[in-house]
Amino acid sequence: MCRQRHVMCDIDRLVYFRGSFCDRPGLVSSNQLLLLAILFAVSFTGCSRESTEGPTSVSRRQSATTATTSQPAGDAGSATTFAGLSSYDSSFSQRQKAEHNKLLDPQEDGWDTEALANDAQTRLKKIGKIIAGQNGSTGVDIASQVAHFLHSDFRCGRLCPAEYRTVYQDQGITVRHGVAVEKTVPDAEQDVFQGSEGFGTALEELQGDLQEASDIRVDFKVFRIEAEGEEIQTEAICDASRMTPQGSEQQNSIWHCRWKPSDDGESLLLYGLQVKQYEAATYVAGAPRKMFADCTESVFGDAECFHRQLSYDFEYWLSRVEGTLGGGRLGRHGLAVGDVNGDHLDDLYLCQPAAQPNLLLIQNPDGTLRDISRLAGVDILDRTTSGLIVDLDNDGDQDLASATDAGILIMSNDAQGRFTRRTTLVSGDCTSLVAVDFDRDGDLDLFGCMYARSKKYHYENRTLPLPVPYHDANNGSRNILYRNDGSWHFTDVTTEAGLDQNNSKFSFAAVWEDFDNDGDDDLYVVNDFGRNNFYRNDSGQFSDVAAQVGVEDMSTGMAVTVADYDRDGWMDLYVSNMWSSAGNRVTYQDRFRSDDGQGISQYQYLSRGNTLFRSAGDGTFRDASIFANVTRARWAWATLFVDVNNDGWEDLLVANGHVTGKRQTDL
Amino acid sequence: MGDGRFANISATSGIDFPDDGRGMAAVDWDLDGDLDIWVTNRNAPRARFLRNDLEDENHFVALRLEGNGSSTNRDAIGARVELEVLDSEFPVRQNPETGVDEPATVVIKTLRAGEGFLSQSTKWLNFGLGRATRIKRLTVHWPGGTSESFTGLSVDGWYRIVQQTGRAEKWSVPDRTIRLQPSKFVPPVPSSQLKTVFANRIPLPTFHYESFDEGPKELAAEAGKPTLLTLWLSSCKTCEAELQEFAKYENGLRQSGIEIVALAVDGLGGEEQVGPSPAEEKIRTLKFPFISGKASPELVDKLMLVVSQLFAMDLSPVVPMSFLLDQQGYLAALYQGPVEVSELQEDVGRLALSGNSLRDLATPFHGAWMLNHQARIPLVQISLVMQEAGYREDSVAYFEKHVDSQKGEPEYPSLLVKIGASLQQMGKYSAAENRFREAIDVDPQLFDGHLKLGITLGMQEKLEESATALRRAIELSPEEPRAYCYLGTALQGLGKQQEALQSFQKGLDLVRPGGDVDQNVATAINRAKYVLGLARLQEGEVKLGLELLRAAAQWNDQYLFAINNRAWYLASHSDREQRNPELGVLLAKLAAELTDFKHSAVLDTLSVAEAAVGDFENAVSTATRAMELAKGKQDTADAIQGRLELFKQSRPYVQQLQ
Repeated sequence: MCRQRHVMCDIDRLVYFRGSFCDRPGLVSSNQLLLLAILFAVSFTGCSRESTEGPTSVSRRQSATTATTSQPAGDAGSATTFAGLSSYDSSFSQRQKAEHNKLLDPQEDGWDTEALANDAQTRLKKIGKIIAGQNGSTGVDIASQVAHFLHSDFRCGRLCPAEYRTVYQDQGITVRHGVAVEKTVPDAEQDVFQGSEGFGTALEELQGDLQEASDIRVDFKVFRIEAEGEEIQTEAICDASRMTPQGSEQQNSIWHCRWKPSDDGESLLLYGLQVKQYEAATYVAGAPRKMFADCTESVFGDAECFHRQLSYDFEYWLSRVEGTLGGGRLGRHGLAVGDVNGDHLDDLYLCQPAAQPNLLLIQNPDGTLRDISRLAGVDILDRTTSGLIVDLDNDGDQDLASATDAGILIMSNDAQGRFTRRTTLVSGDCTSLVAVDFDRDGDLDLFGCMYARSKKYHYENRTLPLPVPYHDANNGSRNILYRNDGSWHFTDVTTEAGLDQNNSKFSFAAVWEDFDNDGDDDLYVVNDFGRNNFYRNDSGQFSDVAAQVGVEDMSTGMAVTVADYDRDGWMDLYVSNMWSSAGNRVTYQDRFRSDDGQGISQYQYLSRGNTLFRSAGDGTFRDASIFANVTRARWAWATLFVDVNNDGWEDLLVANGHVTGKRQTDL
Repeated sequence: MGDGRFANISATSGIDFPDDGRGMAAVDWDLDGDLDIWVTNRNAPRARFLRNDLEDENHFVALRLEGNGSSTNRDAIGARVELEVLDSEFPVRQNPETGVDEPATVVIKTLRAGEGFLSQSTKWLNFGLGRATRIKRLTVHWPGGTSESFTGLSVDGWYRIVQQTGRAEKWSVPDRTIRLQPSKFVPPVPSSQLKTVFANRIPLPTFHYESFDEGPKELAAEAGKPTLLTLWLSSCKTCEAELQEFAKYENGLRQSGIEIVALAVDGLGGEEQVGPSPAEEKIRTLKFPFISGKASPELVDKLMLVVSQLFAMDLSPVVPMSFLLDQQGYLAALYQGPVEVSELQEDVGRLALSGNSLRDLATPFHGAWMLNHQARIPLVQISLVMQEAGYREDSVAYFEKHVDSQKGEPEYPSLLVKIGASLQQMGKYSAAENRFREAIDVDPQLFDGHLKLGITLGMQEKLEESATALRRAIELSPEEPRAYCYLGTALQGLGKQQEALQSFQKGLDLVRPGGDVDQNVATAINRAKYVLGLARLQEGEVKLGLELLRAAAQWNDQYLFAINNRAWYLASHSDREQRNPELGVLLAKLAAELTDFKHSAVLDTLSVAEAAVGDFENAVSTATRAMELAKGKQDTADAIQGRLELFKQSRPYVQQLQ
């Protein structure tokens, strides 16, 4: 014991032995040592992990100091030993960032296929440009432009279907699917196009009659990659569109590409190509036109709120307005449509970020808008996410509920479109608001979807302010059902109604609907980071039966819409999620699957995108997404069933895009 | 498409804008029978109206329901409507499972308030009817439980149905001319003058600059005056014009009590210029009557860092860029782009505002705030962000100066801990200790507070107290490996070797394999590996010991140094009791292997160890190799040479200590 103690306590003296390490054997005073040690830490980079890692000169200085103070080199309880260790504690966040960045880099993370996918994506984009005719390409030109990334043995078949099947035809819209293009194995006999000239010819055919087209867009997105030996296979979505003299046209297809590395191994060469799942839609209007016309500028006319407020994007306001006034960066602000002044024309309520007033815009007889926000008393500056225009006191005019940072503001209408605040409902981080008379007492009750818990909550409870676990988070905020008790009194009846079951999710949206056709309203709640809730209403008591009826949809829920899209008399559900090309690329590789057998399908599900649940007619649902071909809508937000062409069949609209910057990322 | 499938026609339809779409509502805005779309976006325009221009011959019928207000809410939200058509032209439904066509003459819709995402669509229910021209029956199931049926409706019409009136009343579209034209929205170019008035005024850290007249100076609100700090660039015409304006209106500005400090940002990070810089010359030519000088890169960096904390994004510096400081030196406004003199005077005139009225000034629009203004001054973030960026002293000084205002904030205790860690880093152990103690006074459950207190006490060699604090940390968070590892260190210092080793082992056991990327944990853990590695070697568990040591050394060089030192010590100590040449060889070999046999000092150690166990043959060749590697370092080479001579005479090297 004594000897050991001596050994351990004597370690201080090791410092002096360090002499041999500092190229100066023997005894050196500690001052000299400090100096030498600094030099040492900086120059001895061969196996150093610490001194080379700092991203800036500042932190490099720090780590040199670190090495200095820790000279006694990790032995017994000397002061300096503690110092050496604790220095890492405070430089943690810098390092953590560096580590985190590393984790985000797929090449660093062992997913070298991500780098290859990126290469393939770049090549395909180039081909996209050629198809779009941006380089004024004809067959011969194309050949010269693609030559450098074609493998010498390149062959492919026709890129356009030889045969089409019309799957939908209306007066304006025709949708055709390619028939002959699909084949399961590459077939040399059909691959009539060889080398760069052949590819040029194939692309030229695909271009079709470009001369009369305008506004041509071609976009590729690689969503699958698999390496087999040295051959790489990718699958990419190809979305192309153009305006024609007759209307507009669009082609969607999947490009299955085979690549081989170039001789120097530096780049990918296209070796084979097959176009699958070809779908073409045309809209014939007798003029170059699309189905929807953007009349935004004319609907707002001279309204100052459009030119001063709405014409500037979120980034502008973030750089202009103090962030501490409230808000956030994601721009989650919705709208409500309703007739607030009783003239039978629908008006518009736009919810706005902090420090920008909410806008109440009245429809003029000519369809344009006039801003009455201030006069109406609804120019609320507190951040507002959503609003509802509904008659809350059954007096025949439209009242207003607004989900704001100050709570849910309830305002009554004087029938002329002037509003008075009646009460404010305590809420969390409220996202969507929905109303229904759930208790059938003749007035409308409110349900608020709440997202994250407050910062204060997390501090007080020592919990992480992040969704945990990511794919099935249960640390979100509590949704609230507010029962309308008349005279502007609302009571939180969440618990007694049975809605506190699984009620700590990150909820984004909800919809009331009588899904089981039993005469009362059931509630479907869509949650980010995990399962959704399906609260079945049994005589005013709710129970979450999402798993039972097959609509958990464990994914990144954003929004929900409901309609009887198949007209069988039972309401169906469509839920928007995130479709991620990167998620698809990674989770479908054999390598990913081999890591963990159980959870894989869940991961794949997470990146699959939107889900369509078809009612089976007995209160349960079937996932009809793949058959219906409605999963891939990018990073989706709002979605609505709308029969846009009045043909009696519901169409689907999806708003998407997260934070689009100059760089094209997966968002 | 009628068979349960959908086609992607977003481009053809004209709705595929590069917008970050959020909300969406459907409404027949122009009352032409088809549904138009409103969307909200994150980017501009933040609301878009898309008019449905589809040309087709499909029919529709639109309904507006009104409940009785007693059993059913007036808006009739929740009403389920069934519409049955008579016409055989109405599309059939293809059963998705059987592929068989089935008659589907009934369409159902529910009236909802709120659907999709953050959105509410119109309360008109629009039914698309395709080519069907006759409506057989319409049934409304009111949410109160009663149902009513209506017949005699014609297609392409609007109907208002009031509960219990028994009638579906045809509504005629108001006679009006719609004036809506499609156009391509091009976002406006933002003005080059962006002003932000702050509702929350933050104190700035201390800045230093080089005055053209007086040399190094500290930037403070000049003698209690409101001060405009302007960053400018000599090659920037707008900057020059701005300075000219300031010079021109000197009297007015002085009368308003304003001081101006114009700092040139020329050549930041570039070459030092000899002689007067173009910026200085410009100041002289302009006869600029206010304070002028040169900004340092650090000043700009810190300034942007701090100011960015007031925004929800990182700001980039532009020129000219000005900062209005109030009499206390607190940041009152930011001007990205030039400042107008009159505007500046106006802003200075409003410096006395506070609370709600100051917030109103800070808000770029008229409107009504519902919540009262609560000062949210992000001092905590500012302290932390400066710390992260390496401005540790500034961070601590800033914190010390303004700490009192943060008392009662939920982050206060953890801020104390972070500042304490900075103080400790700066070698101010007792100040650090005080901060940690204060933190755990406020929040006795704060694991980090106890842990860091333990570390700081250890650094001051108050080992008993250190162990106590660390034990408390362990009580609070028994699954945290770090506290065990530091406790091991403290116990070692106290001579409680066995307990120390147990504590280290416990720490190691708590680390989940592959789970951690946390550097703090890794630091402590690797230290435990080192200590345990040595202990295991001493106990004769060679393989495990070397494995632990290798892991520690591979993580951090300091353990490589330590292994080498220890090898040297064990191999060359003059006191036999201290010497353990066999162990020395093991350690020296490990160190040599870790440096790929390419480091002279390590090989020097190895040769000494080899000689110490009598393996002079190898000692000679190792020392020779060390000599080669030490070329150019005369002292080292000489020392090794001396030892080499000993080995050749089969004599070990023994270090003589006083």
